[in-house]
Amino acid sequence: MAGELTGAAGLPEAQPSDAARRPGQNTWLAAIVRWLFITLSLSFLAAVLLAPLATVFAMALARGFEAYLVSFADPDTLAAIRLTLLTAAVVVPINTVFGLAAAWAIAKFEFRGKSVLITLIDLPLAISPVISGMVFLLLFGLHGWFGVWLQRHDHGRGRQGEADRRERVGVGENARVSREPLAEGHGEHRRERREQHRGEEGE
Amino acid sequence: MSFRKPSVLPGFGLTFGFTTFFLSAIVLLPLAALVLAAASMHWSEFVAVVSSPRALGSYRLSFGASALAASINLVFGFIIAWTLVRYEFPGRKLIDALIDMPFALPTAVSGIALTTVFARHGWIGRYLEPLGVQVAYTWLGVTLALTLISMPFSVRAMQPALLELQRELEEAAETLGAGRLYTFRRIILPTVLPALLTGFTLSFARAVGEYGSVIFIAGNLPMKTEITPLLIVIHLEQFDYRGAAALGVVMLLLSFVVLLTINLLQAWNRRRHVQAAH
Repeated sequence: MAGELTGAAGLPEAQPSDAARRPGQNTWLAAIVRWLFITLSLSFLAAVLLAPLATVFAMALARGFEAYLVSFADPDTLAAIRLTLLTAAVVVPINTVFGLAAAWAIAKFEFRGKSVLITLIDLPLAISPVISGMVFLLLFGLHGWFGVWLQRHDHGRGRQGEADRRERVGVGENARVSREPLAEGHGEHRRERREQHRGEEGE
Repeated sequence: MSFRKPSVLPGFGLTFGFTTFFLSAIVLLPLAALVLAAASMHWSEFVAVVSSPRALGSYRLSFGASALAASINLVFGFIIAWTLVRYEFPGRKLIDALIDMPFALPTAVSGIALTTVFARHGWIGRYLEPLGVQVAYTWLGVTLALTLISMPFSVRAMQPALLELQRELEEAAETLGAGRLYTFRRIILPTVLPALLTGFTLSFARAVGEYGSVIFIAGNLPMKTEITPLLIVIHLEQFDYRGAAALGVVMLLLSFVVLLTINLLQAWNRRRHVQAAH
């Protein structure tokens, strides 16, 4: 190709002293580049990744290992850990089955619209977690598509109804209940910030 | 032309049917609810919500900081991937494993930890403060948080491409008298370009949607350090579901554009490989 030929013609002339060196290895320039790359990588990772990670451990163990263990005795903490493990235990098997089925269909067969299917599977990766949460609120919230249906089928069904309600509350109501302290948290955070700003101006 | 090519393997109906059913229930139906919720607004109402000064300010921060974070990751992702692939040094395996940390760490934890480190009295923040650089509670902090959580995407996108690089080509270039920069520009860069761009796009997509880590380090002042996902949550807090859905649709459109870009890049890469093989 023409472009490459002109490129080759523009090559720098080889210096006689270069003849002795082996390509890419064991030259002082290679050593400098190597040192520079490793230093840059490690300092970037240290500032952005390792320092925050170390802070997590430092903060967790700031008041000693016993104080750290005591925090697990809090019923709220235990309930939160239980819920996290429970949802993970439900979600992972479901996604394993789905992943196996989707992988079998995609890898072993050729069909029309395959790339569309792959794109749709990739979609949750590109969607904001806020949106992923909001769409289920639109579906199962009290004013959502299935929220009304769930509420109607809730009356006078004893224990089963109670479980249903808890589930529904978990999706719709609970999101509201938990949003309120969240909103308060934001408010406090903002107030703190304003105070800090004022403090700085005062200095 | 039939829907699929015949195959001796069993299970197409079952696996394909289950895949489409599951995707419809978990991904497509909820997204349809989002689009319909936004569509129930009047057009002028929709435009008023998505082009309010506060929304425009949040796009500027979200997209600007994400683009900056993805660019930082483009440069450092390449350097880290190159270091991990090419050089042997003590602790290399450990560093390689640590790259995935932001995937595993809850994003809220990353946000709180970063804030602690870069706050005025934090480990790194105390050295930046005399220089007049404030990271926590500014757009710099937002960029930093987005850089951290999207970093694995760019490193992991580039590593396989760098592993596949044929060193013989570089050595051949050098024996023909090409300098190191020339070899980089003409041999290495063209080969890894699709991987670089894929890493950039993936980082950008991940960063734009991020919520958990940013709200802790941003300070969340309207117009200044408020990202679009936070604005959606604020709308939801006020039970303004339709306003939230309107902003959600804007972000959803962006996600589609990003995915389309990735697919086009990969198609371009495949074409280049086919051409190179002939």
